Amino acid sequence: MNDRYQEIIASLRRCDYVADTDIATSLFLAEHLNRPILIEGEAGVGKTEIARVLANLKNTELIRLQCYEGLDFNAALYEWNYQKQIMSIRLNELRGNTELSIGDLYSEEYLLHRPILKALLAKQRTVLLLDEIDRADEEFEALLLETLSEYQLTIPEFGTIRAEHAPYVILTSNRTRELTDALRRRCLYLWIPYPSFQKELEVIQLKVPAIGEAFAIAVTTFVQALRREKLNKVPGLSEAIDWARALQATGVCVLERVGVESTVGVLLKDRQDVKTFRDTLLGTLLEKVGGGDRL
Amino acid sequence: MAATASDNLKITTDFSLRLCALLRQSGVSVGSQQSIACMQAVLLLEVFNEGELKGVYRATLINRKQDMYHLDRAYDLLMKDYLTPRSEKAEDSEERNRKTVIAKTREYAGVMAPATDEEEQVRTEGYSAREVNHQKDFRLVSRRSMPDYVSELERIARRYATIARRKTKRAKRGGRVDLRASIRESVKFDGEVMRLRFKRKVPTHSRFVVVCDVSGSMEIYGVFLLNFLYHLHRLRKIRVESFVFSTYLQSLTKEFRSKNFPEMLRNVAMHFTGWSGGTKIGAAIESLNETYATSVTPKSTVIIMSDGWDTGDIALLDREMSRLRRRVKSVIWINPLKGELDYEPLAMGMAAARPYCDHFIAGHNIESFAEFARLIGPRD
Repeated sequence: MNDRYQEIIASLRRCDYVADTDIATSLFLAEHLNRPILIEGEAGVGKTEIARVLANLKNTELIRLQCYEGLDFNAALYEWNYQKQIMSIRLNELRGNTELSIGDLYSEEYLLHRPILKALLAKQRTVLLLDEIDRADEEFEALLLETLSEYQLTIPEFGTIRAEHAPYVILTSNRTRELTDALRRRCLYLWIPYPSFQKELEVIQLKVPAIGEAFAIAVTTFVQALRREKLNKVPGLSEAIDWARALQATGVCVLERVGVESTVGVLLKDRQDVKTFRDTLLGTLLEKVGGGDRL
Repeated sequence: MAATASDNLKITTDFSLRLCALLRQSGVSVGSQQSIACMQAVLLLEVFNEGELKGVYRATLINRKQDMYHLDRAYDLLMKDYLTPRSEKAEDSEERNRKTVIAKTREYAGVMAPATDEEEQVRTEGYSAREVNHQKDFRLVSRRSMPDYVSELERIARRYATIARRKTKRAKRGGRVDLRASIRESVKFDGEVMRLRFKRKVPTHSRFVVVCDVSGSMEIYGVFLLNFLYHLHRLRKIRVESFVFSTYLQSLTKEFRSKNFPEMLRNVAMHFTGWSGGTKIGAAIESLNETYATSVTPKSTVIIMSDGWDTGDIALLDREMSRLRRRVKSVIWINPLKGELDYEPLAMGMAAARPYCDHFIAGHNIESFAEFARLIGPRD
């Protein structure tokens, strides 16, 4: 494998993140080609975590914008400080000054920095995370295009602001809505699947060190088997970690019916799933783990 | 002769560009921004192995999870194309302009025998505009050499449609003398042949119902199949009812009466809005079973052309295929993906429908169409 990938994987590992070659490739290319990364994947496989870890790794600030329906440029890009503008005008009137012009009102002084503008104006390369972009409206995507491809922002009254240090941009999506081609084209694409057994085991051991190898293997086997069942909401990696933590905190150290049932709420977040789990799945899964309950 | 680093880079660049073109052909939108990013990445990383190269392509060329499948397929296909030694004759006009590339690809394939000048000469002389490679996958056929392939298909359709049938029927006059019947009749006149009996050939009564998938993943192949069908129709030797589907089914029998193929394509495009859409095979078969029930008879052979990638309900497909199978003579499934060596019918739709098919054949090159023609031809 390429040394450069190895280096990235190793440094991510130091930040407690287990990465594979695909993730390393994307991060490497994003850094050198100056392109945003669009990360897609099921819920809880560590999409948002990448941004956090990257900020940690580059020792820089993480600027996060949580997207939601109805998000507009006032909340995401910039806004004029209207109160301050009105105050200035009033003060000006009272003082009888004639110096204040329209240009003055629309100057840097009156500009409120929202996350994206903040990332562009930062004094060093920051990490800009646009989380769950699929929740924002399609129109909002169009607002991002300029920033994503040119790392600049045009404010009609003010002019164009160009980033001195282009931020690392990471977009995540849960695919609740199909993103537009225009947005996709400007990004590198990274699909994170559910983790393999090896990766999941590594992550659980890394995040819950006290768990012990044998029990970690049992927990991983159980979760991996559970993922193959027909569920409304399949547990992701983060649920698996939480579950391992929960088991550890409640003092369970072998997988048996009572211990699993009392903590199942951490793993499954759907009423129907919990019901089928209790009624049918639990028994067969415990059998599949194969004496894992006696480990 | 070992390939140097710069040669390697050239080959990789060439490979990447062709991959982009191939992806576009299979319906993945690869913009120039993306191919530029890919090239930048290729230049940046320099050292390559297969895994890394694929990683780069995954990150740069595609931007949807669904496209990963197309990428893998296009990659394998192109790799196969690179690794198989070229035939002595240039395959199409484009190929001729790319002699240097061929030499390089040979090198890449480890065939360390670059053509000498003499060989090159022969190759150029032996070139013929109408020469088509019967094994070439339709997706690799360049736009320029498309007409050659199409006319080759027409030739096969003609050849098939003009096969003389052997079944005969008594005729009052005309046709051939039926010696057997004449002599049989002479028995009652004590062996004296009083009257000659005649026989004539009858057309076979097979009916064909063709259901062709024209969704995004099948577009290229669909054009070739439609072409093949169009020529069969025109020769009026067999009865064909044709349908196309993506998310819904539509009869095309009327459109097939157009004057020529381009006009037919225009007519089809005008009346069918589902070109290059998603695929709902189950719903299409259901509509065939219900709306067009009269065209599906126990004498019909149903020919389905699809790659089996279904976005609809698999249970529905299973039910409708079993219904259809009970009502017709046989079901032939043409799947272009079968042309790939290690193909197994794992796509959800294909896996569900496979048990109901009598024949399961490829339809990705001229040769497979000839096989198909032999299969539907009369067994004499």
